[in-house]
Amino acid sequence: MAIGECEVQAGSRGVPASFIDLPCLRAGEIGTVLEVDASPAARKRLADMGFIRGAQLEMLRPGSPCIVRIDGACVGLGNGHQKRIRLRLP
Amino acid sequence: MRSEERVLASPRVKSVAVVGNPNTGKTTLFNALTGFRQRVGNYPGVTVESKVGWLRDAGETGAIEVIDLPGTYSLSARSADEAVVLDTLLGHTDALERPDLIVVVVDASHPRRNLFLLTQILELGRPVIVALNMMDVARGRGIHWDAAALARRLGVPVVPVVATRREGIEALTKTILTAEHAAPRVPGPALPPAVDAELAALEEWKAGDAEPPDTRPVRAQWLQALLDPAGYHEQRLAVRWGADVTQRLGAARARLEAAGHGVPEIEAVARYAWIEQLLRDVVTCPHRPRRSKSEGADRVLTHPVAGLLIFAGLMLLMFQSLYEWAAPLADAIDRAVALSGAAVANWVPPGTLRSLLVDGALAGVGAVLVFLPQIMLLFLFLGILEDCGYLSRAALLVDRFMNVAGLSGKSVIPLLTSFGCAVPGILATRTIENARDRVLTMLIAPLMSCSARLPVYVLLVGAFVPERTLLGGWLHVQATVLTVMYLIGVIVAIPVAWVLKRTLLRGETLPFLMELPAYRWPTPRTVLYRVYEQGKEFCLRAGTIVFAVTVVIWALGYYPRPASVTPLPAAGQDGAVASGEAELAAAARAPAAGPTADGTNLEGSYLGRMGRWLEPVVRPLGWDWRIATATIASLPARELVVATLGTLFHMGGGDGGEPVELKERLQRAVRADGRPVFTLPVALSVMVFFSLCCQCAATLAAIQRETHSWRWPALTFGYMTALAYVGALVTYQVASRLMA
Repeated sequence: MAIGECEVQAGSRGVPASFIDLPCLRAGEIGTVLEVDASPAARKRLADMGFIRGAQLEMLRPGSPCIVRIDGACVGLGNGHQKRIRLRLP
Repeated sequence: MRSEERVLASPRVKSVAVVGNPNTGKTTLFNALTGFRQRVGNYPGVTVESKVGWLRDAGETGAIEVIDLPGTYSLSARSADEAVVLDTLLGHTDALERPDLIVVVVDASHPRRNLFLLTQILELGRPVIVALNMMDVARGRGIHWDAAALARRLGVPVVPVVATRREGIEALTKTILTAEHAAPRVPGPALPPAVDAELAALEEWKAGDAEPPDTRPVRAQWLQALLDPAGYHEQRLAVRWGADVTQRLGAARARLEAAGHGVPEIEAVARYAWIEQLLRDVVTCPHRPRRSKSEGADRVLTHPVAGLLIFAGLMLLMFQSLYEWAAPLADAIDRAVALSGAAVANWVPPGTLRSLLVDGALAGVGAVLVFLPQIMLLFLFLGILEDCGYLSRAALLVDRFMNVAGLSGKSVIPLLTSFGCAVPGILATRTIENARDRVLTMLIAPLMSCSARLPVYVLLVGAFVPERTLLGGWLHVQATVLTVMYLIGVIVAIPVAWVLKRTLLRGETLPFLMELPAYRWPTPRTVLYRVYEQGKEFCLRAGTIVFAVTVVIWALGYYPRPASVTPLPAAGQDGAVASGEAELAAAARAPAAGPTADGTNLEGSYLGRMGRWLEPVVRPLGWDWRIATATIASLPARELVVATLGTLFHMGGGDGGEPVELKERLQRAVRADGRPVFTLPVALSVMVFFSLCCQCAATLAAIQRETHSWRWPALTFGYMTALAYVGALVTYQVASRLMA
């Protein structure tokens, strides 16, 4: 119940350049934002807070809302935003 | 010191605006700059308040106004609070002159995100000073700044400060006084030429308008309107120029998309790239961020299970101590009001004036003041939790549960506040971004059991709920009933919100997005000052309206006066209440008797007549006309029901003439047919009614002020009264059958 809607299975992480939705990121893992696939208004809100392509996120507490670290700040993100953020794992 | 001389010769800065992201210590800095010499200003039209203070060490340059603006991440407005920032900076409000200088507060421990807002503000072409705040936190995290290099690159003064310890405040004040008040020289981040072209076209489109040039939208406004579809700026421009604006912006967006520019993020991408360049060699960050103590604390405090338990425990502790600590203070205020009433009665001869002063004015003041201890304590608790950074975690923890009712975690702070008083709770909804969610939160806030219900519960529980324990001493019946009364509102609020969300306030709830500031020790001065301010605001806001309505209700209960006012000898015999009909007849002949012979004429008054007129309506609830009268009298504020019951039942006085507690008088009161007025089902029905009704003029006035419409307060009053009636009906009918 605590985990957000993670649609990609953990096994698919073996693929070389692995793309992953934010809810699938486990605590302590770091990913780079590839795209934010939300409505323009939501993209604007997220962009204003630094969630743009190339931003580095560290998952601190998965769940809904999750807590991620971005530019040294902790931000809480609800499921509606989380599942719209696609990441690339290092 | 060439510049200083010039300033002394001709002071040009008259007002300074303080802007920054939320949680950058902006208010602490504002307090330090002004030394608490400030007032709350109000913007006409938008009900957002900003604080205005005066620079503490303005020296010989005369008074300099300092404006504290709401925290924001961007000039594109997301909430009612944020909408004010750009308007003020551009001088588009009637309340304030355009500030001559903008102090941008930057949290030194989060370099990039904070500079995003700075780059937007630099483009306004106004003089700017950067205050690099929280230098101590940054140092602790291994982040080092070269402030001089930053100032050189930006072309504006940069002053490092630690506002909580007043470090650097003097230097900042001096910089404000002596700065070269010119626009920043360094060009900001370059947007792609296609965006610039669109902005230029939009500017040109409206450049020819005959309106005064200083209200013409600047490029920054067009940019935010272009990038935020249907956002605040687009709406504002559309109000001014009609659907043309929407059409043009839509077409421009489509052209940009077609050219491969993702519309909202294009600005952020350009700005962050520029910031990256700007910060090279200016800031050095540790390669891997250190895990802070704050994150360690969050492992427990935001844990899905442990975190919730801690939150529940904290709330329990808060409400427990609230009632324990506030009760003696409230009693003291009650006594003080009673003493002043006695003093007035000594000086003023019996009659209308004395009654107005004692039963109208003083009762009104008392009704407001009695809540002050609880409300101040609640604000103190919430202020400490907010200042140390916990409240945003609380919002995060309960977000999932609020989603069920169609609300987001952001509603939790207004709703918690409403347990003290719905008025500040309604004001606290300003931080909610979505207008519909904000109204929804306001509509259910009055269902939270506020401190005004407590006196009603305490009186009736004490008088009619048996003092017994069940389950082998584990369950205290009186305490259980009290707890149930508190829970009713919360339980009812969930389906109410659910229904409203699917009918009148349909729309998507914005997903949760909130920064969780690092935990820190609360600053006592800031917290205490806020408690003082909120207490004052409550007294003025709630006070004036409660006072006014109390006087109106007093008049309704006082008039019409019978022909001769002759105090009867103490008619305190039990028989006097025997018949309602007889009483009415007696009241028509002579004024009411009793301890306050000069004051009360309730039975024959307009108010009493309304009560009798309402009797058929309230009979199914098990009420008699006196309870109906008391309920009408409590329209301005719920707790007034206690005072009115006191007046209405004063005739059932003790045999020996000694004062009898209201509790006992209620227990003894009988109806025309000899049955008691109050039984346990009746008491429960009255309590349920008061837990659900919206008998609070101040709350309705607050909703009206915030929504600019009488529709929402009318709806609130209507639905809550209907709920209260049905609740009381069901309670009485079920309870009386169960008891029989």
